[in-house]
This record gives sequence, C-alpha cells and structure tokens, in this order.
Amino acid sequence: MRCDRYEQDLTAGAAGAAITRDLEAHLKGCLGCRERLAEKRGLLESVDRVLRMDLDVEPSPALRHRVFTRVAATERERRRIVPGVAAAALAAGLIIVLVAGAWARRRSATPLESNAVVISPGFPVRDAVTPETHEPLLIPSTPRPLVAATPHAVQSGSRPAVARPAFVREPEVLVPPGQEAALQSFIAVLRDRSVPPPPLLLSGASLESLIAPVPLIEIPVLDATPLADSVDSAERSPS
Amino acid sequence: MNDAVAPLAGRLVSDAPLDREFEERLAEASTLAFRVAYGVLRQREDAEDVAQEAAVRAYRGFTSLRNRDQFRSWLVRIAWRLALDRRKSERRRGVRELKASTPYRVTPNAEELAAGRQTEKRVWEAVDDLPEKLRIVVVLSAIEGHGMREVAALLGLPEGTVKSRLHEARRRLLERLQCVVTGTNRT
Repeated sequence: MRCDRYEQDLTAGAAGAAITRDLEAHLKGCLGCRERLAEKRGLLESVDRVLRMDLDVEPSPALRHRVFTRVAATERERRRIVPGVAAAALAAGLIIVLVAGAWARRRSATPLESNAVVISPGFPVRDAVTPETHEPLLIPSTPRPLVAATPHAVQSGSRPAVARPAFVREPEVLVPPGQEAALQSFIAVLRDRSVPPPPLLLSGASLESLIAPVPLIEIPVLDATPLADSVDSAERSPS
Repeated sequence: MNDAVAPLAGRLVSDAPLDREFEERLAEASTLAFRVAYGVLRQREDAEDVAQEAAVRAYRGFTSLRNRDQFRSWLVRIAWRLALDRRKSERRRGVRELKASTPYRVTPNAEELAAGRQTEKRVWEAVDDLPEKLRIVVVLSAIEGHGMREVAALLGLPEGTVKSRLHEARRRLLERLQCVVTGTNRT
C-alpha cells in the first residue's frame, strides 16, 4: 500500500520526467519499486525498438521515379489547362468591360448632374430654388422629353414655354455653374416684356437683315522686287 | 542524395532553376515523407500514394514557400496531414483493415516473429490512440534517429514543447501497455 502511492511517479520517471526526491528516497529502500521502475523503462525501450524498426522501412525503389513522374504529369496538365483558363478569364474580363462601358454610357445620358442646374417645365422662375442650395432649378420650358444631355450643354425647345403640372419633370436645359443668375434674369426679362426681346427672337426677321455686313478691307498692291535679286545685287555691289 | 536525383535527370519537370531546386529538395525529403505516412497508415502502397500526393502539393506551392530551407518540414507536415485524412476516410468507409506490417527486415525465428508481431500490433494500437499532436512527436522521434531538436525543427515548435509532449506520450503509452506486457510475461 505504501508503494502504490509512487505508481504515477514511477511511470512519469520511466517516461523521462525527473524523479522526485521523495521517490528517490523510497527507491533506495524498496527493491520492488526499483524492479517496477526497471520494468517500465524496459517496456518503453521495447516500444521505441518496435517503432524504430517499423519506421525504418525503405520505400520501394520506384517511388522516387513515380513521384517525379506524377509531379511532371501534374505540371504538364497544369500548363495545358492554364492557357485555357487565362483565355476564359480574358474573355470574361472583356465582357465585363463592355457591359460596364454600356452601362456607363447609359448612365451618362441622364440629365441630373451635381454641378449643373436642371431646368424643366412646370415651375415659375421666381419660385425656383436658388443655386446655392444645389437643388434643381426648374424653369418652364418645352414639354418635350429630354433625350440626352451632357454637363454644361443647353438644349432649348422651339416651342414656347407651356405651364406643366408640378409632377411632370422633363429636364431639358442644363446651365453651366455660375450662369444661373444670368439665365434667371434673362428669363425674367422675357416674361415681364419690359425690355424688347433680342432681334433673333423676333418673328419674321430674316437672318440676313439681322447680321450687319462686314466691311471689306482694301489691300493695296505692293510693288516689290524679288529678294534674291536684291541680295545678289548687294553682294555684287562692293566689287 | 544527389545520386538519387541523377537517374531522374531525364524526367525533370523542366530545366528551370526553380524546378531543379524542387527536385533536389524532394529527392532529399521524399523518404522521410513516405515514412511519416507509413507511421500513420502502415501500408506500403498507401504510404507511397500519400508521398506522391504530398510531392504534387508541395510542387504546386513551392513558389510560395518563403523559406526553402523549411521544405523538408513542410513536406513532412503535408504528408502527415494527407495520411491522417486518408486513414480517416478509409475508416469511415470501413474498407480498411490494418494488416501486419511488412517492412523489409529479418526476424531471427518464427517464435520471435509471432511474439514480435503481437507486441508490435499492441504498440501501434496504443500509438494510434494518442492525440494527434502527441502521436506525430512519437513517430518523428522514432524515424531516422531524430532527436528533440530535429523533431522541433520539423514541427516548427519549441524544443521544450516537443520534450514535454514526448514525455506525455510515453507516459500514456506506458500506462496503456503495462497491463499488456504484464499479461504477456505471465503467459
């Protein structure tokens, strides 16, 4: 019973752990425990011997050949597949680029731009939002739907402005930044009729009558001698 | 080890320096990979299949291996993992039946052979029951006379960790086998 308490210490000591002083003192006076410790160590030695012998196995001579052959075959397969995969990836990338380009072009056709003021029919100018708020400036215009516009491009209809319901938003005119006030004042002048409209807006006026003829400039005919002759004469004159 | 590479010179993947380096390192480490796989599977054919698969995987990842000097330990770990997976899958299928080991060695006589195989079977059963992290330490320690330092290098672990794991593994093996040996001695 006294020796049983050293069982775990004996096992640990046989497995390679340090032997405690208590166990060491016990072993000096206990032949049975010394034999048990030797037995455990012998058992572990036999375990080591079995493992060493079993794992000292040599692979078959053909293993290296098979390993290299398989690696080479794998590499050949990879090199055969890689171009196809690369071509497929290239094609997929091309399709993505084309689709993205088409989508971008379609999106650019929309009139709303952050730095442009949108003018559409349905709202009076005086009720329009000021440009500082970056809200769309809605100005009566033609009811024709907008086809396409780019920033700073101005489209104007041929028909006069028609009052439209508020929910109809047909942006047609994009005003360059900084030109909103000038455009508002211009439209206000047209509405108030306090100032006659520009001649180009008058009906019945022909283009030829509105454009003043450009005065012709008379170019006098110069009487000049050829340069070569004058140089030659200058060179010959000292002699 | 270069003599093992020379006969294979005509079968190299390519003459690129990278491929040559891979083949030299593989020739040096392939036997270890096979033995590690054999320590799990204890079937020559299975272990060779695992060694081949480990070589293929190592080749695929060789360019991404930063420290080429660690190729040996890298290959060992690949082989170990592949062998464990193979063993698990075979156990799941219920196909595998662990056969007696067939290493090329000579046993003095039939009685010793029979007794040795019985002991061997029990030892391997005990080793197989060890947790994975303890088992690989035991297997690597038994291969090619590896010391603690070599095992630690192969596993990428501190030497003290390997030492404590080996002690724990041996303690468990001892507890497991003690009754078996006692019974064998009595008979």
